[in-house]
Amino acid sequence: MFGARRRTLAWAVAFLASLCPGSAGAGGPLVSLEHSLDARGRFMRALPSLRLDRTLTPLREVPAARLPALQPLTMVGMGADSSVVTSHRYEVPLLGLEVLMAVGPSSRGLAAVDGSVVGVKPWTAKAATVLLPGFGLRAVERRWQFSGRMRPVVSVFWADADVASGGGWTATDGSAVSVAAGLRVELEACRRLDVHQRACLLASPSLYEFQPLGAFTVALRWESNAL
Amino acid sequence: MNRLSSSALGLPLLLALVTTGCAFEADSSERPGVSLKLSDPPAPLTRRRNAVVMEGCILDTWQRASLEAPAARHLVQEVVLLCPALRTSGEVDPVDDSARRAVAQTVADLRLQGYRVFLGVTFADPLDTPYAPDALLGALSDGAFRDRAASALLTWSSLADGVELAFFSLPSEARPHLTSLVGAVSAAFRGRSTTPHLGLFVPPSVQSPSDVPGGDAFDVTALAPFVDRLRLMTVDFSCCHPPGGPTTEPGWAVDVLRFHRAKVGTFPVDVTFPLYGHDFGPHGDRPVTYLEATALAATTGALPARGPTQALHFDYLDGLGLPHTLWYDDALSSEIALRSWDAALPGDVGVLFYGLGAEDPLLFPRLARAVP
Repeated sequence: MFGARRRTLAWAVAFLASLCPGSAGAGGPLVSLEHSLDARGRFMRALPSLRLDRTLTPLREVPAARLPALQPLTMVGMGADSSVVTSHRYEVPLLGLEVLMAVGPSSRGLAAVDGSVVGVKPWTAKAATVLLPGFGLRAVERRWQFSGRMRPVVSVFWADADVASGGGWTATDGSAVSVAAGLRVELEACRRLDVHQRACLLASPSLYEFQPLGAFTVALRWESNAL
Repeated sequence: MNRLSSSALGLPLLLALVTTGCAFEADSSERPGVSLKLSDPPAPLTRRRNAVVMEGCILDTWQRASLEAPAARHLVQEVVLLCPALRTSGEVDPVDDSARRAVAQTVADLRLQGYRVFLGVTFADPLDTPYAPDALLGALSDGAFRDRAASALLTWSSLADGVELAFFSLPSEARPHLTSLVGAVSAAFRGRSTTPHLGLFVPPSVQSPSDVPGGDAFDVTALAPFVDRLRLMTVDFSCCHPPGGPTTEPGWAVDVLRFHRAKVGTFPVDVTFPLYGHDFGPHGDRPVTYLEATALAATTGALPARGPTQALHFDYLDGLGLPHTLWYDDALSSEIALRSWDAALPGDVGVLFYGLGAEDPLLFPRLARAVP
């Protein structure tokens, strides 16, 4: 048991040591801070299970409810991210943020809450995601760079919803909202533009985000290590 | 190195993820919503005790074909023939033997197909219009009338499996007298060796005093012990001029049920789903069948749209250029309504489909596929 602990400790020390300048042989700074901006599109397999607040219609009171996952949705938006890279191989994504809004035609998603028909308007959907620190690896081949990362995220998704009240709709009190933690994989291919900048294509399947394999994100990204 | 780093960082991250995910999801105050996305094959619907109401004593060929079809036989257990009428004299029409024989033959035909058959008795004059409030009140408050009515209804009940009292538009002052009448009928029925079924159509109140005409005449708490079933008339939700609205509202029907269940507990109760629509015009509204509605849409070039409850509606101008709005249900909107009820209504609550013959011909086949 103690032997295993010692081995783990040795590996951890070795890893931390690898972060120190001078411990690797590659050229350039051994530890660099990188940042990026991107335009991204995201396909969601289904709308998340949204929380609906209690709503008073002219007809009745509809209690707070958890709506089921509804139809697929496509969103576009922007993202910003940052990471620390060491030894040109190990990458620790730090904090990132993405904001998205729904695009494309979509019909009202219907659900029933306590007997009343509820219509979610996917075309009003918006999402914000905080990308949390994770871990990744990268490989550089001349002007090309390939990397893979895994990182947790916290996402907020919200959309407007109405409750049927006879021949008319009544808007709910506030948007229907879902907040969830998730886990994403990011696979990236970049081409160096100059010493500091790269243009990248990012593909990011969500292992879990509101649901298993819930979303797939594609982004065109500009990266820089110039502070 | 890679293996160590992945496990050292990945494991805590995964644990954090799972714990935060659980924290986000837990909230016991939320009701679960039900998806109304329709699929093929359809998702299963709760099997309920279903009945149909047919206005009239004799089936036309369309109605007969509907009830003979496997889909209806799979879905529906009871048929209510809404045709005998209680008069202020205490008699129940039709009184002539040939008419009663025809009714008995219809009942026998339906029983052969496996249905239980009840006779829905209205309280109306020979022109099939409701009596004036004074006439109703005068009759109901007369003990001799109640005895004659109970006796006549007992006779009618022997033609079928029982009787359903479908008294509409009663004045509020009739409340104690209606209870007495139903009590007298119940006593007459329960004196028989084989007790016929006695049901009661009840206006769709959601509050007390009632918010619907005639609702206060029904003291449901006092009436329930006398009958076997209460049929809540959750139809004609919208009234009476353009823009009108859907014939029923699933959420409203849930509230009607809860209002009555609060009074009678787990007493057997049905909610009603209309098979007909309404044409709202400047001079009032009239019921329309699905086929009439679709024909009107085609004739006038109107494009039906779906309302919030998914009932169809369209506007048109009549021959005088007057504006009308027509609301009606098709198989899809009916399935949406029944799915809305699926989680909100207890499984012992039945559904009474009102107006056999007015429905979308695809309705029963569609529902039959969803009900196991």
